[in-house]
Amino acid sequence: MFRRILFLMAGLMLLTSPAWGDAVADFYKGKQIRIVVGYGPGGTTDLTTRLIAPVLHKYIPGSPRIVVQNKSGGGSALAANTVFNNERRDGTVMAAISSSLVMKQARGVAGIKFDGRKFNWVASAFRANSACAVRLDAGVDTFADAVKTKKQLIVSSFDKGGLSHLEPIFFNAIFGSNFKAVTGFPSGGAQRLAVKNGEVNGFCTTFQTMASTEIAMFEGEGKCCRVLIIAGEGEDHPLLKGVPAAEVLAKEQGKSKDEIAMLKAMNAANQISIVHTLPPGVPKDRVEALRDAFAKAYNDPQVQALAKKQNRNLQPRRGDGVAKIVEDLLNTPKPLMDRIKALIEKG
Amino acid sequence: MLEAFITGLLQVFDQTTFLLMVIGIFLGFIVGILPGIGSPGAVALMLPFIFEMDPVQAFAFLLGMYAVTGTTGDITSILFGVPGEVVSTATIIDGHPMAKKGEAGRALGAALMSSLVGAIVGAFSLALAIPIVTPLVLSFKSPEFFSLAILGICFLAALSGDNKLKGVLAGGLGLVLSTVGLDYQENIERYTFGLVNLWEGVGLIAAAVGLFAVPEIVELWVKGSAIAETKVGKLGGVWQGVKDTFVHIGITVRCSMIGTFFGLVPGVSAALSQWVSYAHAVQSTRDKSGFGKGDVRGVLGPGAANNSGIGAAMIPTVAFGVPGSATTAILLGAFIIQGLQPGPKMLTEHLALTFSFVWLIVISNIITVALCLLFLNHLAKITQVRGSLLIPSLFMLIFLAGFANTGSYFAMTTTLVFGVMGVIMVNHGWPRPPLVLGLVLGSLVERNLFISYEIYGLWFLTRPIVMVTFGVALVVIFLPGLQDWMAKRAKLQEDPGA
Amino acid sequence: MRNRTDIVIGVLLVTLLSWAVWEAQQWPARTRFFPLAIGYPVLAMSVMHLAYSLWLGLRPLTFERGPAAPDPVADAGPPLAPALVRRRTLEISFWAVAFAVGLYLLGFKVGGLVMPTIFLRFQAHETWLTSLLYSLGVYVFFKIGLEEALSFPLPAGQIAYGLGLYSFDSYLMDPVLNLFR
Repeated sequence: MFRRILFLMAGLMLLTSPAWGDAVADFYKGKQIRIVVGYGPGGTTDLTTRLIAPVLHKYIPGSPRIVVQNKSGGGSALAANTVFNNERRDGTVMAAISSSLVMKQARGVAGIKFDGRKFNWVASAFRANSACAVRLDAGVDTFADAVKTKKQLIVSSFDKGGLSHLEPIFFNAIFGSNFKAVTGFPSGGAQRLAVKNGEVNGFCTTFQTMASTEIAMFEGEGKCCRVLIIAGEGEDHPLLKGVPAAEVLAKEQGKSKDEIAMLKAMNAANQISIVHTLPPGVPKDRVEALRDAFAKAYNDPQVQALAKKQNRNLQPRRGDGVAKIVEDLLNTPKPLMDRIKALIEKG
Repeated sequence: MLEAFITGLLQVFDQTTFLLMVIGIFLGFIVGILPGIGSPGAVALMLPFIFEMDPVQAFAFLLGMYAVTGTTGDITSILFGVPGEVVSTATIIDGHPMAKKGEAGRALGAALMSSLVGAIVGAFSLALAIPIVTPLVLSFKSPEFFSLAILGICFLAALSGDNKLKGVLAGGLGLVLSTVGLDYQENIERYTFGLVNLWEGVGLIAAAVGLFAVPEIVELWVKGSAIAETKVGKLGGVWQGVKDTFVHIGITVRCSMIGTFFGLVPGVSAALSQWVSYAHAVQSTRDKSGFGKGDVRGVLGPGAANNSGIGAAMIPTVAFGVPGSATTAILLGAFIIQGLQPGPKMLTEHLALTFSFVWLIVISNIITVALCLLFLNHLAKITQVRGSLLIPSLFMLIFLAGFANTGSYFAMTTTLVFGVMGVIMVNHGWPRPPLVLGLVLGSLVERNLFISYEIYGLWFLTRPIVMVTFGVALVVIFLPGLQDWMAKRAKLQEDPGA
Repeated sequence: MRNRTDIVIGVLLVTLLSWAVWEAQQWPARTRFFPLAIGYPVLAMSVMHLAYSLWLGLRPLTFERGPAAPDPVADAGPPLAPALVRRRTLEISFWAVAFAVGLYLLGFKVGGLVMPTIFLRFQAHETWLTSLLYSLGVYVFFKIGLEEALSFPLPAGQIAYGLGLYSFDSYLMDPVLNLFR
């Protein structure tokens, strides 16, 4: 009996899903979309997802229920691999992962079992630029100083080849600064504590983090640090007065096309920070519907107000834009990628 | 200072705040009593609800929940031998044997009361420590973290019971297992068999649940009876446990202070403080024979340390943005949701707010304990339910534990593997606590060893706090032997014939 | 008996640790440093332990049960027949694996309905009524308590995924629950 009901239900589902009226709305009606977050609760990826999750249903035809699942492991590689390979490809499961995984794929890191070109990217939340900052007592006032004096600046980093490690070694290679990246710090908090207690001279992370969570390090009476250089083409912010932007600086100094491409590759992941994606094979109309929905959700007044309260400046990018950046990064010519790999290996 | 201490207290008694705290406690109790969801899970699940509350309200809600899950974690540890979270593993060692002896109520009472004392002692020692917190926290750098972790390793020996070789070997095995995953220097896979699931190492919760809960389930089935082997008598009651807390008030207070200290030091796992205080409870007791078989002091120590640490751990979290545990990491997220800036201002301008957090934890504890005392005796009766009826639920919960933590079925494999290890270890006299401690401390040692070496060279060993800590470590290693030797000599002098 | 298993454990440990140390040799210096720094001493200790248990094993008849380590289970009640203990240990080990596999294949919700029923009815010999009510309770806890009330998603098991279906129970429950949403 139970089985008969089951089959009946399944049959009904199959019958009702084909296009009558709005196919997408019909599909999502009464269903749920599960967003698999690649990190544990409380981190930026998780918080951003939970920020838009409550309003998302309003903008998806058929208003499905949205549930968030945390699946941490491998710096979100586990979630990316799982959603790419082992989850339903009908638009009911999506992933929230770190965009730096694409760089890992480009470098051919073992354990990446997805292809960034085939993901159906839906949206990214922030367009950040990474930046490096040093303590006021580091003996260096400007980036030009740092290059001229070749003073060794120890910076605290997480893992090799990720945010906070790429910046110092790329700047060293291209501009001739003398950062020394010490890897192994377990979290952003630990990375910055080492700066605050003077154990290291500085740190590199996104400028967004510096200007929000860690603003106390840069202004007010207790300030301890100054920004030395920012990646990309710079931003308009009081803390960045007189601070060089890496790509602009490179052009000024007549660096080669390859070197500018390297700087772009280094910053690419930050440009599509906190990214949501659907696995390959999801029907195009559903992908488009979700891209629209995410764009609208990020602009939802409630979401905007909360983001503002949290001091975070949402700069969403639609999935097609994300796909373009991913593609560019993955199309980095092999010789250049080899150079990047060698740089990272050298540490 | 005192003003902020009191203002913080008054803030808690705002009507809405207090109500939200009570709701938090209630939900925390429901969610927290389920092993596996534990405090990180409980707090994480509630994050979406705080988006629109104001800071004190949001934290009333979350901290009420956090405080109670710390306590409920102890409840499942005692009743079923299933650690609700890593920080309540030490409670199992003596708490669960007490439950088996039919003293579940007493163990629960002791765990609850010591939690309460811990929370209060923790709050007051924090108030006293505020002026030195900033220099204290800032003086702990990578070499100091390293030395603390080494100190923790020396406690391995103290936790090894009578068979030192097996104990140290188990601890060493834990350290070796802690190297599973990507290494922190080169990002190279170690012992991962190509599994991405192992990149971040062995899942601690899944491993602890496997090591401790699986053997309990096996034993429950083998015995074919209920958890409690004897009927709960009057003596096994909750009030006895409450009284025990005050009989051994010295241990409770000292362990509270240990908890406060470890809570204050950023980045040192709270899981360490419970073991250190357990070891302290063992070492400071003359007759150690009862430990591991249901000595109430083995429950009081970790119980006090856990809850005093909860309040203290808020300080590095809010003042330096360095969370010491999974839960405080999520609370830091909540902090950011609220648009608050973690920073030194939390210890100066916003000190009252910081203290309100500590008070929230204390008051939540008081409410929890008061409520629990009313029906703990009934809760303890669950140890008299037929084992065969408990087993399916326990299976579901231990597997849920790992799954809830990582969202991946792989954790079930970890639980099973460590379950087999747990059963073998129990049957052949291998102590399990050193293994867990090794697993917890390995990454702390390795990370900080490299960071220290990169920054200071070998000179990091000469830093004052490092040398003092190493000195304490030596005492920890040699004191028991020395005591034994002196006792023997004294005996010899009394009775030369022996 | 006790010594024999001690020897077996010792051999296993030595093998495992030797492998760990050998494996670590191939890594770059900074990757292998810590694993080796602890690997060698622990390997040495495990060899010592093996030697000690061999020595104990070879010593005739001075069989001495070492003092129990501080472990909760050390304090067992009246002794049970070893054969019975072994049989029950095997039984419950089988069930532990069966639960894990069942949950993996069916997911927590459906698995939580099926596995306890089978266990209670066929292993613990409870009545059908008890078994079913119990399992229904487990299911309700997962479905209503975790998934609905706390929005804690419990994905379908591998069978449903392999067949390209949603979690089996959702076909029955979702239309019902949608009435209340």
